[in-house]
Parts: sequence; structure tokens; C-alpha cells
Amino acid sequence: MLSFLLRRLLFAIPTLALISALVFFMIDLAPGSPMSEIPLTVPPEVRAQILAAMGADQPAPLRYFLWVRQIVWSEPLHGLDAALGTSLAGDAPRMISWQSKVPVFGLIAERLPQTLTVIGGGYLLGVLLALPLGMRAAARRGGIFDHVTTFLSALVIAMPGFLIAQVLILVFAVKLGWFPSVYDTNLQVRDGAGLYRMVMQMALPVIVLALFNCAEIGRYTRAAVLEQLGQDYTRTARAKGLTDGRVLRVHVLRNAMAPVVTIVALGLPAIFGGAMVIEQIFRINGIGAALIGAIQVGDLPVIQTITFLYAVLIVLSNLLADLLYAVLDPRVVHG
Amino acid sequence: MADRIVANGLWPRFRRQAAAMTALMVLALLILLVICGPLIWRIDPHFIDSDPVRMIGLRNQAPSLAHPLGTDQLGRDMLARLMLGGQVSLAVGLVAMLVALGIGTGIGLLAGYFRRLDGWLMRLTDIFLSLPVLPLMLVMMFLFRDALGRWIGPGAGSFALIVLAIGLTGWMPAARLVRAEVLSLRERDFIRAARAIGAPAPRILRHHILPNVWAPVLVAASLGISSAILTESMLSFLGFGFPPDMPTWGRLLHEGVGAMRSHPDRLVWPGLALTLTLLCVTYIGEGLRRALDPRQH
Repeated sequence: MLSFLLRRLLFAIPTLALISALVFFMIDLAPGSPMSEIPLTVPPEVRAQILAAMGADQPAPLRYFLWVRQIVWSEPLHGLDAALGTSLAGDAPRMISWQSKVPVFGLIAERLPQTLTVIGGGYLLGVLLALPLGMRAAARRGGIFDHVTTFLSALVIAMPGFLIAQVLILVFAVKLGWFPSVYDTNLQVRDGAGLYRMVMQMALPVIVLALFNCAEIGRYTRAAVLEQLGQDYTRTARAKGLTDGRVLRVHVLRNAMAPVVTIVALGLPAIFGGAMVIEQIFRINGIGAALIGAIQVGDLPVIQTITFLYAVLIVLSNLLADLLYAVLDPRVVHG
Repeated sequence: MADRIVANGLWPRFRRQAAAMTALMVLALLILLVICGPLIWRIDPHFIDSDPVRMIGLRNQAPSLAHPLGTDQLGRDMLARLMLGGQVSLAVGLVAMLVALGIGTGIGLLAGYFRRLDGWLMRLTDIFLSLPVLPLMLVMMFLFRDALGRWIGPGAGSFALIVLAIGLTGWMPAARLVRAEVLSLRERDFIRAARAIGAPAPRILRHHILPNVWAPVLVAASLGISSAILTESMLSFLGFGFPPDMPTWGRLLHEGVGAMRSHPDRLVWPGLALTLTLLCVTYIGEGLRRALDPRQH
């Protein structure tokens, strides 16, 4: 198990290295980059000074190396210092946002929890709904329940997430007034009432993401359960006289879950993209909204770091999916 | 010969599926409306009255005989804009899908046929599969849109950029499907025979393998077209897509959100068109997959 995990981790490192290089150089060398957009009225010697002050006169590979060192070494040390009160980082410079002049990682630390709450909540709710629905649809294949859920999931997958979000806002926030449509970023959870308001304002964004996840996962659950229902071991279990429910829950579920986990992991980039749009619609101050804001003003350090952070999150979730797969299907570990 | 038999069998097997056939007909109707509609409904979708007083009078009109779907916040006819938007959206979906399919088929062919390339190409595919696609696309739009727009015009520049961005980040499913098919084909007798008489690899790939991998390519195409339309609408919705004078369904939704509370129908029509198109493409893809799946018989 440990060596399997280590092998997976080792594959994640070159993946991240390649993605980081792609992100950095694409943004750095692009024609529309803010680095190249200092107005022509600025005299050449002032222009050179500006570039030198930003460190932009150094060759790109060196700047890439410094950026990577900042992310994997200096910034984590600063983080440790802030958490433990030590001074490991010494006077290593911090990565500063061009727009707000605060450390990029401080900005991210403020915003990451909201993003993770939306994505995590959407996943949890989606899985909790999808498993029973998918299993039931598979158990009664061709029935009314099966047809209705299949159509609904196709509809949810075909509808763009932002459209679902707008429809829900129109119905539940504007017409019925049950939930707020705009996220209150100043809300602090101190007591029961604060927690209640937090849950209410997270409800709509989480539901939108959960609907999408539920449709996707439910579809694959149905297909995987159908596949397992045709296997010999299922027939054996039935022949022993076990009830349908027991066969499904005890025998089929675990075997059906392994392929579902793989498919879900493949859909992760789409989920992170969807969460970004949802943050923008509900005005949640997560990292997706921060990235869109940074792109609009050309804040390179924030753009590069958040884009890379998305890649890290996706690779980490992939690792988690691999781990889960190994637990569900030990054959992959023991070859 | 072999592919002729499969091709002849595909249509009858596809036709037997009621859902997929309905989807195909609805989609054909939608495409017909979007392409031929402007020939009948001849109001200019870009027309804004130059007289400001009349323009204000024409704004935000409710549906009427002159404007069956009403007018937008600048007094432009919504029906005409919806049809033009459909043309752009469908064109983006089609071309982006072709780009993704071209890259994916090429990589899949190489990975499946040449053992030495397989490991590297599949690792590349895995890396691309864990790219944060939407953030990268937004960054690409921001960085290259103006430069490309200055070069070939803002509309064409946006189109080329969006199509390329979607194609470059969406070829992985096609590559995987084609590779799997090639892997099973390359051990078949007719390929071995071609190799035995000394046919060079490019010739085998082009004449013997490529004509036989169209089944997974077809499925990948239907997957690709819906995800391309969806991605474009997402970009346009976030305001990173086409310029304002080039409506797409996503762009119309973006404009509709601003007027959502007073004119919800501005959201309904483009949303309905988009959803219906994507739903049809999904069902057609599913029908194709079933018609091609040997286990279904």
C-alpha cells in the first residue's frame, strides 16, 4: 500500500512541474502580458527602471526558478512562522500581489476556505444523493423511476451550471425569498444565528454544484451497478437466498464503486471550473472569483499562483481518488 | 469491406432508438431554424436606431408582432439575435470539436500504433487531463485576445482563439478512445498482413487503421461538440468570450442576467435553445454509442 502511494506521489511531482512551467511561461511570454504593456509615452530609461523594479529584466528561466522557489520553499516557511511564531524564513521576500500589495498567499489563505466549502459541500451532497438514486435506477432498469432519473440527469448535465444557478436564484431567492442570492463576505460565525445565516447563504451555490455532481455520479453509478448485476457472484448471492437490498448494498456496491471513483476523478477539472463560475455568480470571495478579478487587472503573480493552485488541488484530488480506488479494489495495489 | 458492413448496420440500429431519433430530428429542426431563419426573418440583429429618442422607445419591448421575442436593452430584435447567436454557438462547437478530434485522433493513432511512443503520449494525456481547464482558458483569452484581434479582426480573432483554446484542452477523450481501438486493430490479421508485405507505417495508419477507427471518433465527436458549446457559453457568460457585437447563446445569457428580474424571458429563450441543443447532442451520442456497442445485440 505504502509503495503504491509513493509511486503515485512520485508521478504527481513531474506532472506539477510541467503544469507549473506551462502556466508560468504561457503567461509570461504572451503578447498581451502586462509586462509588455507599459505605455509608449514612458521614456525608455524609466521603462527599464520599472522592469528592473519588478525583476522583469531578468531572463525568464531564472524568474521561473525564483517563482517556484517562492512557492515550494519561502512561502511555506512564512506560513510556518505565522502559525508557530518562529522565524525560519528570515528575511526571504514574500510574493506580493501587484494590485493589492499584500502577500499573494495571505490573499489565498483568506479565500481558499470558501472555495473548498462550496466544492466539498457540493461533492458530499451530490454523492449522498447519487448513490441511492443510481442504485435504485439500476435495480429497476427500464422502469418509470429509471427513465425519469436518466432524463433528469441528462438535462442537468446538458444545462450549463450558470443557467441552473440563475434559474434557482430567480425561483428561490427572487420569487420565494428563501435564500439570499448574494454571499455576505463580512459574515462571521460566532453563534447559532451566524451559523444559520452561513448555511443559508452557502445553500444555493452548494445545491447547484451538488445537482451537477449528483447527475454525473448517479449516471455512472447506474451503469456500474448494472454491469455488476450481470456477474456470476451476484447470481450466487441471489441463489443463496439473500434479499435484493442486501445483494445491492453488501455485494454490488463496493465493486461498482471502483469504476465510479475513476470517472469522478476525471471530471474534477470541470468541477473546479464550475465552482469558479458559481463563485462569480453568487459573489463568493473564493479563489475563483479572485482569479477572475486578477485577470481583469492583469495581476500576474496572483494569476500565475492561483492557476497553479488549481492544478495542485486537482492533482491532490486525483491522488485521493487513487487511494480510494486502492481501498475499494485491492487488486491494483498487489498487481 | 468490413467497415461497409458496420456502416450499413449502424443506421438501422441507430434508427431503432426512439430517444436518439427524436433528438436527431429536434436538432435538425433547430439547425434549420438557425441557418434558414434569418433568410425569412430579415431584421438586422445589429440594428440600433440612430435617433436616441426612438431608440429609447424601442428598448426592452415586450413580445409583439413586430418583435415576437421582444427587444433587448438597446432595442435590437431578440429573435434575430437568437438566430445569429445560434449560428455562432453552433459554429464554435463544430470547429472546436474538429480541432480537438484532429489532435486527439493523431495522438491516439501514434500512441496506439507505436509502442515506444505509447507511454510518453499517454502520460502527456494524463497531464492534460489534470489541467485546470477553465482558469487556463480565461488566462489565454485575456492574454491573446487583443493581439489576435488586432491581427485578424476582433470577431475572427475571438473565434480562432476560443476554438483553439477548446481544442487544445479537449482532445484527451478522443485520444484515449482512438488509442484503445488502434491497440486492438494492430494485432488483427489484415494489419499484420500489411506489415508483412512491407507497407510503411504511415501508409498502414492512413489506409488500414484510420478508416477503421471512425466508430470511437464518432462517439468522441458527439461528446466534443457538446462540451465545446458548453465551454464557449461559459466563457461568454463570464465576459471573456466574444465581443459584444457578436452574440452567442452564452453571450445573450450574459446580457440577460442583468435584466433577469424585470425580463426573465431574456434568459429563457437563449437558455432553452442552448439546453435543447446540448440535450439533443447528448442523446444522439448515447444512441451512437449503443448502436456501435456489440454487446447490445
